[in-house]
Amino acid sequence: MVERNSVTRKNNLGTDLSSVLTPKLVCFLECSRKKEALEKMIDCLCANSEIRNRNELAKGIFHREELMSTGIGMGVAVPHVRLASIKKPVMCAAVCRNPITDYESLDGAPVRLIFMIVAGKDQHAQYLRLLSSISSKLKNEKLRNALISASDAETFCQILSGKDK
Amino acid sequence: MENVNFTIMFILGFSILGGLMGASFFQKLRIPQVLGYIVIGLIIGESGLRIINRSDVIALQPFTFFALGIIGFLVGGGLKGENFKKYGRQFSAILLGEGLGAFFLVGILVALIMFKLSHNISIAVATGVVFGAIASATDPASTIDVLWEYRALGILTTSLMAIVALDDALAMTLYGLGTSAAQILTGGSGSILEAIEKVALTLLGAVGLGAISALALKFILQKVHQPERSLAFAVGLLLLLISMAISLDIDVILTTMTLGCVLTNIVPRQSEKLFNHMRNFSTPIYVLFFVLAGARMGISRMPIWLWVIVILYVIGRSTGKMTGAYLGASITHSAPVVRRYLGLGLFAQGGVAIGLSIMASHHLGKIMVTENLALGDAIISGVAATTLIVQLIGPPTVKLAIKLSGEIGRNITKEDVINSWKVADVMDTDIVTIPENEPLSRAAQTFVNQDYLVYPVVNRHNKIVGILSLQNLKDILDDRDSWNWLVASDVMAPVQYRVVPSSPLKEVLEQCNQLHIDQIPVVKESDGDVPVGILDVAKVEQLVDKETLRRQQP
Repeated sequence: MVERNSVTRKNNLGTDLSSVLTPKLVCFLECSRKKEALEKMIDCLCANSEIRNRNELAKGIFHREELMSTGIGMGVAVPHVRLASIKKPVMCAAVCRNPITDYESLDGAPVRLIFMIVAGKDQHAQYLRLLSSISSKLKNEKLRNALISASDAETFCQILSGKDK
Repeated sequence: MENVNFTIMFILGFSILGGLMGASFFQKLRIPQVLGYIVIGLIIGESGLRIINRSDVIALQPFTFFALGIIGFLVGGGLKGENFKKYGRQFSAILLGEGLGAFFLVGILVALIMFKLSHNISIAVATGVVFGAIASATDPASTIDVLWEYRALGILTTSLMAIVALDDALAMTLYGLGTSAAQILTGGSGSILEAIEKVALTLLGAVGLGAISALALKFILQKVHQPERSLAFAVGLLLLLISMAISLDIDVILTTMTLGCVLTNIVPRQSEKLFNHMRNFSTPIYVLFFVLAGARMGISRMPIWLWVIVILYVIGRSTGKMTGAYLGASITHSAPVVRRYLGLGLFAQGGVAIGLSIMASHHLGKIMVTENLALGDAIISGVAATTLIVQLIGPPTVKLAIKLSGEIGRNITKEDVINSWKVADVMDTDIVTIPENEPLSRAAQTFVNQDYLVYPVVNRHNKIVGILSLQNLKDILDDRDSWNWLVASDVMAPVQYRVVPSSPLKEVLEQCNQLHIDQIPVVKESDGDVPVGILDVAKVEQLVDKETLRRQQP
């Protein structure tokens, strides 16, 4: 439905990555299969965020992957979902020590970095800005390499938010 | 509860219910409903079963004035400045033609009879002048009621509304001058100059009071936006205005008509809704007004010669009005329907005529026409009898006029059209759906290729899972790369509201307005998840406008 007069306030949408990604939500994965990697990230989100309904989250994430792979190319994947029970957007990031070859990315390249984004049904604009922000940032090859080489979660977060310099 | 007057309550209820039943019976016979109200009044009133007697009618007089005030207000609301600019010359000529036509014909006929009876030229001329002046008035209430009942629209209807609204002022002017002349002729006090001054003051007072009230109501309408509250304010103001007019001895209809006329011309948009609400609200008051009008008509014990006057009055008045209206319309080259049929719509006679006859009886009451009958009583009885006759003839002839002119059923409003339609009548059925897994790069192309601003997003079972609109795409317009890996389901909005084809359009549009929605998916009756179309509010408005115009055409 088209709602009248709804003004999108781009500058107030909270696309600051540090507010949605904390070191606790960064994991380093040894697995090399897509399903296993996504399951582990779902576990991480359920353990370290306000998300309590694992089934709902898993169902949403895997349904989205069924529609079309979220491997956006350049070794990056952005699985995402909107759930009714989520109050504010949250993100989990994973560095795949072993490249994931069955992700079926757009460019066919194995995935090294995964950013799982979960938002509420009513956070349409924030959600899209977050997705857009991640994909734009990761076009930078140097940044991607730095993130892949990050030794720990704190360093990963600092690199991503540009506070490592 | 001991002090509550149950009789008045009973009469109110009995009159309204009885009037409505009479109206529905008459409607079945294709006779205007207003006649039903009056006939029921006649049956239960003074000339019939006397369930309502004179004291009851007097006790309920405030309702009569309230009804007259509402009638005046609504009639004034129909007097648009643009019509007066366009047809002012025609209206004036017709008004003078029909008013003076009735005045002179009735005046001469009545004067001749009275002279034959009394052999006194002064009394004959005085009686003729009073009857003539009263004959020039037309009852706006029953005329307008017929126009509304048959949803008339067109140049004849516009002219009729303007003439019946304005000829009260003409009648009062003729009456004011006529009674003064009559008093002078019969040896009483007073002068023509005094009479002119009094008439002018009365007319100016009515116009002034009405105009000031219109400014007050304009202020209220601009501050108060809820329709119920606006109506309550307007009713309150109207009652105050009516009470002031009564206390200052100014014509109620003319005063409230000025209020309606000024209001509709200074705040046309805001006042339109108020006039509609007032019309809906006033039905029981209207019914009561006409039932009481019938109930108070006492025509028993009239001498034969007075019946002769009554018959000549009716013939003279009808002929005078028809001829005068025809001449006025012909001189000003009015539309053929106005020239041919306007006179037929001017027969009704009501409150103003009876009011003037009562006033005349006060002024000329002591003059004896015969040994047993004073002129005042003769005027009251005579006008009551003529009112009864022309009220029985008037509404059917108004109907005949609008029928012959082809203006019946053309006053169709947008609301009427909306009420008559269901969603199925206006929804777009050639709607394209977007699969939930369609990449945005392709989904966006749909917006380019099609005319809609919103599309249902469906899953592989063709069940609706969301809605994709341009608004949804707006948030990622500046990141075209993401369009390759985002799919429709990522950006679609949830379906908050869906309708089925059989839903009444009125309810759906009200919901859209409340929820600020412009487009809604329409789903299958048997399966609420399968989309069958889209309802686009902007398109619906265009269709409603078009259909309203189409239905208004002859």
